[in-house]
Order: sequence, then C-alpha cells, then structure tokens
Amino acid sequence: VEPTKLGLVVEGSLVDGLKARLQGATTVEDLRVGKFVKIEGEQHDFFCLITDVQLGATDQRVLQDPPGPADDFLRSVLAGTTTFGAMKVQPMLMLPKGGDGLDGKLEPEPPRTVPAHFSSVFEADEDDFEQVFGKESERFFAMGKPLDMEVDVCLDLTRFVQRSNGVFGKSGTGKSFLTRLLLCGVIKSDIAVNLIFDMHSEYGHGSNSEDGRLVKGLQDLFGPLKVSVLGLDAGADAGRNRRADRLITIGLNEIEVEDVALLQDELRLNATAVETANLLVDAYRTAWIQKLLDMDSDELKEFAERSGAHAGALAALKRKLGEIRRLDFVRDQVTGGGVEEMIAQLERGKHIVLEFGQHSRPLPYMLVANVITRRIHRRWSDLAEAHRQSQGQQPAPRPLMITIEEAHKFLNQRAAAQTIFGTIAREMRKFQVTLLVVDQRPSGIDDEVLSQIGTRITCQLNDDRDIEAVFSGVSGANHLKSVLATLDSRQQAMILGHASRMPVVIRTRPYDQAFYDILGPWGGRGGNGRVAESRQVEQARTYHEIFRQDE
Amino acid sequence: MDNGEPIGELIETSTTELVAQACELGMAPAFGSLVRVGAPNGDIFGLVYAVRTGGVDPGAQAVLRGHGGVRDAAIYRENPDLNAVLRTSFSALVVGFCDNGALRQYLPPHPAPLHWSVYECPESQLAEFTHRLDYLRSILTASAAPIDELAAANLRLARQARPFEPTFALRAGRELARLLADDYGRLSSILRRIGA
Repeated sequence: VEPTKLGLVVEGSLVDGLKARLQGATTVEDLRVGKFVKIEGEQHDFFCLITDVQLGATDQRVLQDPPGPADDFLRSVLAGTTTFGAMKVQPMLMLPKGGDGLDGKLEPEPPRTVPAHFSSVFEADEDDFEQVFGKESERFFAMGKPLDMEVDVCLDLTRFVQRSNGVFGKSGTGKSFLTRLLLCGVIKSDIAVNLIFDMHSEYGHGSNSEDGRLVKGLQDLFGPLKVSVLGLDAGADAGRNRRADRLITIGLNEIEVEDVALLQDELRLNATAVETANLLVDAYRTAWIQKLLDMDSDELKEFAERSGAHAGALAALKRKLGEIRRLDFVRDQVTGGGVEEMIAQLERGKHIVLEFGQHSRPLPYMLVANVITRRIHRRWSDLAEAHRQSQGQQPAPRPLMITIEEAHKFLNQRAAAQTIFGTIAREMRKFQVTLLVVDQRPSGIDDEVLSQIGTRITCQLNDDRDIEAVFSGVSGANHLKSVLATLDSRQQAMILGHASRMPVVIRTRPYDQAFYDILGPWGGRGGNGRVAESRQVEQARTYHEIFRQDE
Repeated sequence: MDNGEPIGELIETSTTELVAQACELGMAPAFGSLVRVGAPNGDIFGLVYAVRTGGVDPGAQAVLRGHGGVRDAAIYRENPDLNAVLRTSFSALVVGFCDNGALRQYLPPHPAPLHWSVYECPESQLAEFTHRLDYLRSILTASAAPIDELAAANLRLARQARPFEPTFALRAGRELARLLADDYGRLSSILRRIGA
C-alpha cells in the first residue's frame, strides 16, 4: 500500500519546526495535532509530530471578499490554490535512508538538520511506527495505539526502568488505569521488581473502574506467587483486611525524624518541631517517640531544661505525635513487623502491592511509605555497595520500581530536599531503585525532581502550571504543549521521554480479557514469549500443587 | 488533418493573431472556439475572440434597408446583393501549434501563411487540445481581446467537449487561480462566468 502523501515542506527551521503545505485531496480536517508523520528527505527520513494545523491564503483580498455560501465552485477552486491548508511539523528523529532501524546498525537519532525544500510529507505507516517505537516483545510493551491508526505504540521497558517515571493527569482521566497497565508490562517482562504503595487499594485485586466495570488486579493476573498483596494490621477489633496475604505493622521505634518532618503539613507541625525531635533522638535514640508520648508534664519540663528544648514546643510535638500512636497499625515496639520479610521478598523478585484499605488518608500513607522506603533504600545501597566492592562477585540488586500516589506530597520543594523519595528521585538510579510517581498536580513537585523524571506519561491536564511542569526539562516543549492541550479526558495519553524515542499521543490499550490473555496463564489462556510462558506455567503449577496439598 | 470544408480564409496573419474572412456571410465560428490553419510546417491553432460583419469595401458603411413590414431576415431576402457587398471576418488568438505531431501550447516559429484555409475544430479536437491548460497563460497575457470573457467562453466549450472529465472545470479553475494568484477580483469574475 502506498503511503498517503499529505503535503510538501515549504519553509521552516530546525528550531521552530517546519511548515508543510497540504497537497492533493488532503484537507485540514484530515489532520490531527499530535499525528505522527514522516518526511522523506534526500538522505534521511525524518519522523515528525504535527504541532499545529493552519489555514493560509496567497491573497489577502480573498479573505476580505470570501466566496458566498452558495459559491461552491469558487470555493472548491480556491481550496488548495489561493486558500490552502498547512501544518506545522516538528522533526523528532531522523534516520539515514536505507537504515533498518532497531535491527540494523542505523538507529534513529535526534534531528540535527531539516529536510530540503519540497520534501514530501507522508502519513507514517506501520513500519515507521515499528522503526521508532519497536514491536511488542519482552522488551517492548504496547501501551496503546495512535489516535488515527491501528498500530501498536510500544514503550521500551529496559529504558523505562532505568529512570524514575511519572504518570500525570487530572483526576478521573485514567491515571490508575495507565499505572496498572505499566505495572503489568513491567511485571510481565520481569524487568524490575515492583513495590506499589496502593493508596486506594485498586492494584492488587480486582476493583471497579470508574465506568463501573470490574477490572482484574495484579494478583489476579499474575498469581500469588508472583505478586503479593500486603495490608496494614489494624488490630483485631478494626475491620481486618481479609484480602491481604500478610499484614504489616509499624513500630514507633521505626519512625525517624525524617518521617515526621515529611508529615509537617499533615500534623500541622511548626518549624521548630524537627529541632525538638532531634534533641529527643539524641537522648533516647529509637525510643524517642515512645518516651516523648509517655512523658507527663513534669517530665516534659525536666527534659526541656536538661536538653535546652523549648517546653512549649516539646508539649506541642507530644500532642501532635499522639496522632501517630492512634493509628491502629502502629505499635510501640516492633521488630521486623513484616517489613523485613517484605524487603526480602522484593529482593527475591516478588512484586508487592501494599494496600492501605481504610487508611487511605495522606497521613498514614506518607508515614508508612516513607518508613518502608527508607529501609529499602538502605538495603539496596548496601547491596549495590557489596556488588561494587566485590567487583561483581556479589550479584547486583534487582532493579526496583516504587510506585507512589499523591506524589506531590512527598516530592514538593520542601519535602523533596529531606525525604527519602527526593533522594531516590535524584540519585537512586545508581542503586537500581526508581520511582513511578502518580500525581494529579505535577506543578507541586520539586523542579529538580521533575527534571530527573525519565518518562512522563500524561493524561489530560488543564492547569497551565501543571502543563508547564510536565514539560520542564524537555527541549522543544512549546510545540508539544498544543498537543497535550488537545488530549481527550478519557483513555488518551501522551508519552514523552526516555522510554519512547519521540513524544506520541496514544489511545491507551483496553484493559480487558484480550489483554489478560496476553499476560499469561494467570490472566487467561496462553502467554506471549516462550521463556516467560514456560516460567509462568511452572510457577502456576507449583501454586496449584501447594493449594491441592492445603485442601 | 482534415475536417472537411474550411470555415474561412486567412486575410491577415501574424505570429500572435489570425484574421480570417468567413466563407459565408454570418457563418463565423463561435466566440471562444478553437480554429485550425493547416500550415505547411504543421497545424496552427487559434481561439476566436472577435467576429464582425461589415462592408467588403473598408470605407463602405452599411445603410438602413428595413421598411414597412420588412425587417430582419426578410431584408436579406429582399436584397440578395447584400451577400456580395457584406462580409464576415473573425480574429483568433494563436495559442498553439503542431510540431512534428506533438501539440505545443505556445507560439509557433512562423506565422500561418496568408490565404490559407481556416477550419473549425470539432469537439474531439478541442478535447484533445484542452488535455493541457498551458495555453490559458497566453490568453490571460494577451492585450487585444476581451481576455477574461475569452477564457471563460473557451473553458465552457472545453467542458462540454470533455464529458469524460467531470472535474475539468475544477482543474481549469485551479490553473486560473495559479495564474491569477495576485488578482483575486479577476479570478473570481472568470470563475463565476464558467459556473459550476
């Protein structure tokens, strides 16, 4: 099939993009902003995005005396001659002609020149998509299809897990859906182990999507041997989380000043709280919260005198930290508490979904996520250090991807400087730990962290500051803003960054039985990719054997 | 190429224009139609842009002949001598020629010889000639003729001659739009004359 020729390049520059005049039967209404097109130059093919569609006229007088509504003939003659459609296209990649793309030696590279005058602009075809985005395989995961074509758009998972990533979009645009899709891809290809802090308990088990459909959770899809769902131990009296495989408790002894500092807003701490807390830690080490909470007013006064703390501040801190003790999964003294076990599982490559169930408020969510992540951070840096010092004798730690929601609470300018998540976002790539931040307010995230985000998958955003934030640190962002602004509010997303060779707008792939089937024996029938399949079948068999014994 | 009887004979010739006298009084080709002169080096084509009828003697001025109930055609019946003293002549703009069998839509190297016969082109020939529309530029740049009217009249005839190309008017219109890119007023007036 001959590719559809859309127009001819008439002017432009590398910096400002090219302008192409529409040709033949192409009308402006055939074009969509964000469409992927190919320009055939003399020595290179250029892969480009349409960033604007324009109307032009060679003679201003036409515009002053336009043909009347009945004057169809005049209008049709003028169309394409005196009045014409044009598109702005931004070159995103160039490929020397005759290159084989992914399989050959020639890879598409960022454009350093532009095609010559009157080069033809074509609609990109299936081969072009494969050349740029890869073909679905262990390494490439199909995220969806472009808006106007039936071709897979894939994400390079190997590159995806190399950096921290972001899923952005206002509420109700399908962030959790996209996140679930991404997690499925990463789990399926076994390219990194996942820890998901699941605020609204929607990833582990099946849940109702916003349109009321029941969608399968990760454990439903990959089986309990591969994905473990953990809950918070709310004690005997509170409604126990029956869906969880195991429950986790957090000890007051495990909470550090840093964790409390993160909760500054949630606990309404004043500026001196951190200093006061540090004095307590100096005196009581890990028991600092417990000691503080157990102090009566005399003891408070006495400690203040002894340590130089402000008595009022100390009393206020005690009052506010009481809220942590009242969380029903928090115990005074915990050793292990399931967290160690959980980290060991992650090390062995088991994916973990930590459901917050009834604790879906920011306070418990941030507290638990920070406490656990801090421990993981320590463990992974140790492993990486051991690997480095043994010069490869010790295995490198498994790549780990931590998914956090409401990320702006962890990664805002103040928190990012002092919490573990800020550290991970900035430098943990070296230790094989990356973040998948899910957020509806990217403008709330620290600029330095945002600039480290590798791949941004963005659903509809309206706020200008949020849009600005998504593109921070992206060159040529101005052209892309117009594309992002036109996204539909459902099931459309723009992929931009490290794991995708060029920005692209997709209709996200349906999360349905056909998709479950692809994921392997747990999702449905058959798998994709022989290695993955045999591994999964083996795991499935073991699982069945265990359960038969149980019965 | 022969199309039967000639419709006129060249009485004045130049590189850009043909002037012929019609063989019969009042029997000139239609305004805008294509005519052909079978010149020795190959046919030369022209578009009829002016037709006039007057006295054979250049100085003679026609006088009133009608009277009583004798009007219009009856006048000719009553005055058979009119056919001898009046003549019809027509002018055509040279728009192309045949060069060893190939049709060229630009001016021929030599003008058509004087007193050569002029033939009216049938529709088939007009259809063949209008396969290309380069000659429209020659029309639009001519100075003598009512050129906008001429272009419109010719394209109306050509459209009739090309029923197999329903988009002919559109193609011709676009060609005109390119040629008149800087004169929208003229363009739209010609297009309105062609109609849809």
